Amino acid sequence: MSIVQALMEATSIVFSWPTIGWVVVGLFLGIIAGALPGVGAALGMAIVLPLTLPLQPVDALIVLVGMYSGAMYGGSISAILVNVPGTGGSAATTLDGYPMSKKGQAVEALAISATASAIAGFFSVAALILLSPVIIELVLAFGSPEYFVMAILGLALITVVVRGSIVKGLTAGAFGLMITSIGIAPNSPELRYTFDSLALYDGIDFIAALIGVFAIAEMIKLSAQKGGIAGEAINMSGSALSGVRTTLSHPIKLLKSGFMGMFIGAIPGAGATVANFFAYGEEVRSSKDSESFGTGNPLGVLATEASNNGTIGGSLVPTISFGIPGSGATAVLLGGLLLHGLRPGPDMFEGELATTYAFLIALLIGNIFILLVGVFLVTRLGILTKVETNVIIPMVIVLAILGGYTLDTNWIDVWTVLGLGVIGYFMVKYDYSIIAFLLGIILGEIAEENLMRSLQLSGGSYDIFVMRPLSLLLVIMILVILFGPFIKSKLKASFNN
Amino acid sequence: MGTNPLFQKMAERIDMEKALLGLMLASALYMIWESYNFEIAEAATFPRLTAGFVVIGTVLLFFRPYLPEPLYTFVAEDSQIVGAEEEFEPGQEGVEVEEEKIKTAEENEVESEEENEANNELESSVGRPLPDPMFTAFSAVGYGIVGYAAGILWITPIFVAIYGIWYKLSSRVIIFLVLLSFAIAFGFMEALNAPLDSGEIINQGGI
Repeated sequence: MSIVQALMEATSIVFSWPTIGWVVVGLFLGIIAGALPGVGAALGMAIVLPLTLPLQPVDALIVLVGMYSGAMYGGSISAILVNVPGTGGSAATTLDGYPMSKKGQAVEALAISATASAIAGFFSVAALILLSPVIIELVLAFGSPEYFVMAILGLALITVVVRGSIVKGLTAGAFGLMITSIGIAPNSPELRYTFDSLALYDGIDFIAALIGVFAIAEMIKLSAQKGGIAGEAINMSGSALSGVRTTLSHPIKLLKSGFMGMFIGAIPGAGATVANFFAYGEEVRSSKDSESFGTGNPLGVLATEASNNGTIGGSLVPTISFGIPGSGATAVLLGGLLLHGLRPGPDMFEGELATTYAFLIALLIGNIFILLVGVFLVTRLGILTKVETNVIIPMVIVLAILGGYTLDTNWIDVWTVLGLGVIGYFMVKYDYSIIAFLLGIILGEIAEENLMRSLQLSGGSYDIFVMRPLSLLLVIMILVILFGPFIKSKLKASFNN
Repeated sequence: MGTNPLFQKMAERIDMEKALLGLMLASALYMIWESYNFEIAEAATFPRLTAGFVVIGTVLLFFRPYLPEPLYTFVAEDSQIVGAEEEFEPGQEGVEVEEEKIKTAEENEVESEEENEANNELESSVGRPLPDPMFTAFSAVGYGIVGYAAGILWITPIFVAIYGIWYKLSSRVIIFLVLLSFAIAFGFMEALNAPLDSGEIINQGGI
């Protein structure tokens, strides 16, 4: 199927019923999840994931990417109104968004957020569609050895980019990979670590793991926060149209922040939080009026919100091309792909190209929906931020347990949700990267399949990972990523001495 | 001063990070040992590689205070090259951590807030004898176990009611949440055809 044919087929899929309805449902759920502090994109998507089982794969993915996009915007609502970002990707939005609210410009700030999110999101996804022929060529150059090394590279990148020690991150990732050894081996009929339990023959369900780590662990953590999240009452005043005008009168800043977000989003592990602060820092640096930032400068909201929605297009590149999610939300999205029988990699750009384009087009349309909601329903969205955490927690736990059980009506999944939820809580508490841990669980089967296939090709020799130019390049990148910062600091210290 | 000194003392004495590392190490060692009983040798390659890596990582982390200098830096110190907060952590912490990078002068303030947060985790916000995270974890696990025994559909509203009463929510809110949770569980049962109304120990046939 040619790219043009795939695009046309994808467009007809997205505009058919009920698919177009799922676009709206996904965005709406995402905005709610993003606006509820403590919930956010990854948790919201993890809870909805089991509910997508009865849907067609393309509809399920559209719901999930819609939630991802909607949550990215929704996070700004609580950031602007109560100074608490609904998602990490809206953290920098609080710096000028909340002061704007306190100055009586809450509606204007929310309208800027909606317009900047929608336009930057639209252009980053459009750029991704335009770049897709190049990505397709790159993905098709990958074989089994490259995919295995790429999985390790993804883990290495994530452990280096997030906070904390590399060894902690790598151990968490390896622990995740190790857990996937439970069940029937992928390339042989050997039963591993099943304790003669039929329920363990299929191994640990990665969706249950995602729900446990995102829902249960996060709720245990959230319960430690005292009282509600609502700060001082904000008067919903200001003009939505003025916010739209402000955004449209700065097209260069808007696109600069959006594409900055797209670039950063493509780096596994960096994600919307980094993009948010990079874009804010760049806006402050390049402004002639840098003193006004932090006191309610609308350009602060514009830059941050353009950048975080810009990351969506970027983060989809490693996720659908190589199966390397850049964040919690894309990890769940990757889980959704696998749950519905779609393998990241060449399949997504050959047999499933129309599906890939369908959810990208759904994202484009979704940005128009974000703009409409942000401008016309903006005054009603504030109510979401008044929901108490003690009300959210039991409902999320209920949804997590129900979702875990209904995955396969298997109690092992419920014990996985609870067990990994508690383990995930302590991993977060002691700075062990849970994204690396989850990435290990999600990629375990794919990594093992590609490892074993590579070893079969080479007659059992590990040389295959350094004899092919592309895999050798990836191995060198892993070594540079893991040891580069330490070697650099040692060299610097020895030069100084 | 907290309302639950017994739990505070217990929590302070148990090093949960060591417990976490111990769990990882024990499971990795078991996986390596068990892999020698596999009938097909190739099936042992991946578990041995990954478990071996976990063993090396956990041992290094266990003994990090005793490691010589270059190795200690590699194992224990932050090697951030970009500087990201995991997106898993939405909420005020994200703001605190990221603002730290922009406003380095506020470092001490952020540190003291983090200390307060750590202390908060050992206390109950509603004057109850259990710290809030501990109650949430215990109640979630209890919900799963009792749901397994008697059927999740029936246990769901009971769990929500207990949670609401424990946190002293208003009776109107509790009634609303109980009804909503039952409706959600019933919706799951009907939509996904899952036997949520029957337990594995009692009420086995459902209603």
